[in-house]
Amino acid sequence: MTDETPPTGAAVAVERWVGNFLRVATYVAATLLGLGVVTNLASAMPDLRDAAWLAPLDRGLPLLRSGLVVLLAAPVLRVMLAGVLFLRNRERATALLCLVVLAIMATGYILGATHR
Amino acid sequence: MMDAMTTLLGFIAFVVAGLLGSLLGLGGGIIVIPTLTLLLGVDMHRAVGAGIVAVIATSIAAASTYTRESLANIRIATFLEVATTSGAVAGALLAAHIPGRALSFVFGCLMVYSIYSVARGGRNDADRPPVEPHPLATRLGLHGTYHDHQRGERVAYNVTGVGQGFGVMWLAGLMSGLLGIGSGALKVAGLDLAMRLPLKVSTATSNLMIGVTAASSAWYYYAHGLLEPELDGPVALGVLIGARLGTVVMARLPALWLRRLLLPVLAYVAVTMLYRGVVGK
Repeated sequence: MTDETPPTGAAVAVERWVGNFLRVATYVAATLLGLGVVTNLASAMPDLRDAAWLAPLDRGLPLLRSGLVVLLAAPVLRVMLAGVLFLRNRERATALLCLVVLAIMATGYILGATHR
Repeated sequence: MMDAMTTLLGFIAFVVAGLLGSLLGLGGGIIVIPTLTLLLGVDMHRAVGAGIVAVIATSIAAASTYTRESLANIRIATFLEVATTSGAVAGALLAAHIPGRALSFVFGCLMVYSIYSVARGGRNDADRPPVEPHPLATRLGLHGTYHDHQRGERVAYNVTGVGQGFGVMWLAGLMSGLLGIGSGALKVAGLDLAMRLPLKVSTATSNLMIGVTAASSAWYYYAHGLLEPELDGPVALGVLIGARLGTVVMARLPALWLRRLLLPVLAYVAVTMLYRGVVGK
């Protein structure tokens, strides 16, 4: 086993990659949810309720749903991304911990709600 | 049909929940759930789903900034997530067999002690005596540095109490699995008490971790059609905006103010837990 202490340069890279990934996820989710909320509010207005051009948007539900999916996927993908980056940095113990966390998350999902 | 004013007030409350959550390392459930049930008249069952979504929204938006700035320590988070997630699964599995009241009482007492510890903390994290680095923490590269904008300097810190920290985090996970309250507050208290991290690092790292604990449940809710886009979407949007604002405030906030903000929240969670411990649910 190699020395686990990471060089400073490599250590910063994991933080930057994960941080940037979370930032993209935040903006994508917020954009989808924002458009969804606006469409939802517009569909409820009396003047627009029967507007034909608004009908395919289904009260913004597909937009809201996609926004929530992006949000829900982010923590899982974040752990995967960190695991890959740790492995590349030869921080094998930490990469293994990421894998363990993912396995426990999967168990939690199969068993049902673990956090209410 | 709810009137526009109430809806707007509700949305503002979600923004505030995200703001406080990102500053204090909490999920914002303390604000989101009462807002939904008391102000907007949503029943508890539906509010719980929105609460889980709020936890993830706070975590993602806050941690995006804190991780880039190394304020959230991703190695500590990964190490402790093993404890929080397995504790949460154990809590869900053992719910029927664990004396929830006794555990609430024990955690209430722990929270009271953590209030004492947080209150006693100096004006700045730098005033704390340096801690002895733990060998496992060194091996896993858990020690870190961060740039404190407010003080305009780089702060280095060591990590100690790895075993105690892991244990407290496992119990924090267990509590969130069992009772579903204050998991963020417990994580901040644990990081502060057991591992003696700088307060800003404690709250930021807690922000990073809470999303992972909540994600399994959120997917379970989603797969079983228990999430409602029309309710949870606006909640998530408000919380995302608030949490993003919170990260801007955090950079300018002295640790002393963070302590002042944190104390009443910890006190509220402590009282809730002691109450549940003494009176029952």
